[in-house]
Amino acid sequence: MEETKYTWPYPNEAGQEEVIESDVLVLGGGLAGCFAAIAAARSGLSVTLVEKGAAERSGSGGTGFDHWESACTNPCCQVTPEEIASAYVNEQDWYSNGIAHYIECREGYDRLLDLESFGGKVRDTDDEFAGAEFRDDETKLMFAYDYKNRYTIRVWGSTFKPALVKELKRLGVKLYDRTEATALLVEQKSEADGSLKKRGIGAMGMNVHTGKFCIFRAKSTILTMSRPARVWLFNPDTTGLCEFRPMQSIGSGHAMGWRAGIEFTMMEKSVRAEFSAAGRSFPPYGAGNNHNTWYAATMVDARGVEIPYVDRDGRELKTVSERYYPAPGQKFFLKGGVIDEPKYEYRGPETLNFEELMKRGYQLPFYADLSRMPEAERKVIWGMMVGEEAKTKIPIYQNYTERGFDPEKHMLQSYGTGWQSANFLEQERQFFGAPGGVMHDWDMKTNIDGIYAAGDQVYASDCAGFACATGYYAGRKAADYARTVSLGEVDRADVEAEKQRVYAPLYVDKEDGMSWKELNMAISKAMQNYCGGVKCDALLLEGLDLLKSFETEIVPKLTASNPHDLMRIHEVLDILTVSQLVLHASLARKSSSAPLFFKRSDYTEMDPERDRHHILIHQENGEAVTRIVPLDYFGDLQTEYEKRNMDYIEQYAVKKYHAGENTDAVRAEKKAEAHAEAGTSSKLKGAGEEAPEHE
Amino acid sequence: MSKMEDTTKGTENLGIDFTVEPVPCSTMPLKYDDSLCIGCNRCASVCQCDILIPSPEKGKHPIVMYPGECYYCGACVMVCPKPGAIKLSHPLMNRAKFVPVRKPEQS
Repeated sequence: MEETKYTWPYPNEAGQEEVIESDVLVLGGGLAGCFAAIAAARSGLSVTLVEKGAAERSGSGGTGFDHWESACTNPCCQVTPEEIASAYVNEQDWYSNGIAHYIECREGYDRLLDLESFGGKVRDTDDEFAGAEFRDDETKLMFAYDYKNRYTIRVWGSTFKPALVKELKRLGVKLYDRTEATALLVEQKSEADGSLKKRGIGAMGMNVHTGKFCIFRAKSTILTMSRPARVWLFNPDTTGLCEFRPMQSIGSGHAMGWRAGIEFTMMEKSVRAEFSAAGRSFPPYGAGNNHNTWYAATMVDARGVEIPYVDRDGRELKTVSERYYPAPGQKFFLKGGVIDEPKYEYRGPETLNFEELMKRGYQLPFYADLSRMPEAERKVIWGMMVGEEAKTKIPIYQNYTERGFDPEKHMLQSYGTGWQSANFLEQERQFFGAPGGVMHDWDMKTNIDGIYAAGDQVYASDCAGFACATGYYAGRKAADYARTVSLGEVDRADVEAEKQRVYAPLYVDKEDGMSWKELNMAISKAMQNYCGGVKCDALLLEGLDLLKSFETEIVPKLTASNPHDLMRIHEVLDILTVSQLVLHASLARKSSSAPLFFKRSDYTEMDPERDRHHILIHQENGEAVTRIVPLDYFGDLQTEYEKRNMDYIEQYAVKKYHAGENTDAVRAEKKAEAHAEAGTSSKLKGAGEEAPEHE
Repeated sequence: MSKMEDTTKGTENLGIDFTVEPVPCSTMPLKYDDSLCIGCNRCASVCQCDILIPSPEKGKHPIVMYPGECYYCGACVMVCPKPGAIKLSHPLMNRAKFVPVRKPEQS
């Protein structure tokens, strides 16, 4: 074969510096980051957004998402923000992000209307589904899961990211695409009492095409860089498929936050992997199943015998329609993103469990058979949901159609017994189902002044609506803070140290050096060995020792030939940092925990009362420091939210009043207002009190 | 595989030349149809994993430099102004099976 040689197509600016000053800096251009930037820019401040990929289609929702959860203020909704937020908190045994969930419930629908005003499609304006049971024909909104309570909205998410970027540009946000953030800039000042107080004053980064070094000075900084990945799962061949989220979402925000001294919680939580299309899984939403995007598809066994759906009491459901309604005596049920097998109180209709099916003689493999569903249900799953959900329009809908798949004639095979489409080993772990992350207060602020976080960056995060709502909220609060301070002074020594760290692999001899893949592979094997399904102090400490040796002996050998390779190396360095954070967090919890999927062989007691709290962890002078915070630290959700957001509440009430002749949106808003008023009487029961017992 | 020196002449950089060569993997996620592609590079500019680099030859399709880093999101196909110019295919092991619908025998 002919030898292929290419010239690096971009200018070589390695070592050059650019200084960018703005009021508010956003790191990460996914849904949360875009909305954070929009909120700050709307308030009149100068904003810079830094994105490693290209914001037009980057992030987990880059190519779409199909349903918007917890839209409790939409005009058709029959449940209150308090009911849904407290249901999440209870469902997750209080290892839940009450603040962020409540923000999502209160403001999420406002963000959806924002998206619509930017050009995104949020309702069935083409009347494609007119008359369908899940559609409100007046507002043309379409609902998923619980058709009675109507708090989850089906959306055309493939239209959203380009619309958001257009709005960013219209607002004058300075967008730095193809720029990775690599470190936070933190200033330390002595307080009157002699203690040191930290303040975030920006960040540093590198252009991944040219190698140019960037110094972003800002009055406040918002971290929206998703969650860690490739800690336990790595495949050096099809690396891009290792994890569920995009290849470059690997937890850089966690790593730079740890290095800067930001507090984290629940980092000891990891679950047996649910998704890796480089390994056991099939493409997301591309195998027969009846969860999430595919809820509530008709499932059949190998003989073509239909698998029954049952309600929470085991009552077999006779019609397709019944799969979308609460059980007798149940107000609402939870379904979607992080909800797997909810408690009885929130459990919705589900196919009969696997063991029972085996007992009754059902035979593998199972299939999703949409041909047996009413036309509207079939078309909304295959064509709308599969099509608008991330990574489905081209990879699934178009690709399978080209391969000849016709939902009226074919059934799609299922490869497991649930939506994961695979069964993983216990040591193959993943940050999934509301994992740990940055701890924050009611302003979405971290423990460091001037640094905020949103979306998957924060602990116990959920889906797209969560990202958009918390992003916007953090943007607002970060803007408020930015108005009260001036730019900090960047320490030249910090810049020089970071430049040295960032460029070091360019100086390592190509023949003697090591690739980022070899190190990533070694880290994930180490984490499977030392931080797998069952943990104990001795194992965890051995793991820390090994990772430490990687840091001192292997990291200096990493080699890169261009800025792209450099970026991949920086990612693995961040994975190495996050892995150590996970080991420290695991060492700090001296008991086992069911909601945290945390099993200890040396502390086997499950969830003893003495340990039912957040164990916050941060790094100080190379040491892990912990402190304890109660699980109900956020207090009464409604009271605490309203105490801090009267400006927003009033602004939106006025906005709705003056909204003029814009028909659909206004009508919807007015109904939402009436509903919100009706809902204010019910408070979140239990919040601010002790964690309640569960049924 | 030998490498070709970068032609960028920057006096104010570190003085280290960038080199690049394709990193092969077991799969080929993207294929271009030369008869349809106009070489606009929109796919390269939108790819969030940055696996493509613009072709050195003007008007030709980008080079799939890092196929193993593809996340199979389809953004490149979505942004392409010439339908059919790019084809995305899953690794063979990930092509889920489908069969004609089956009705149980009545008994």
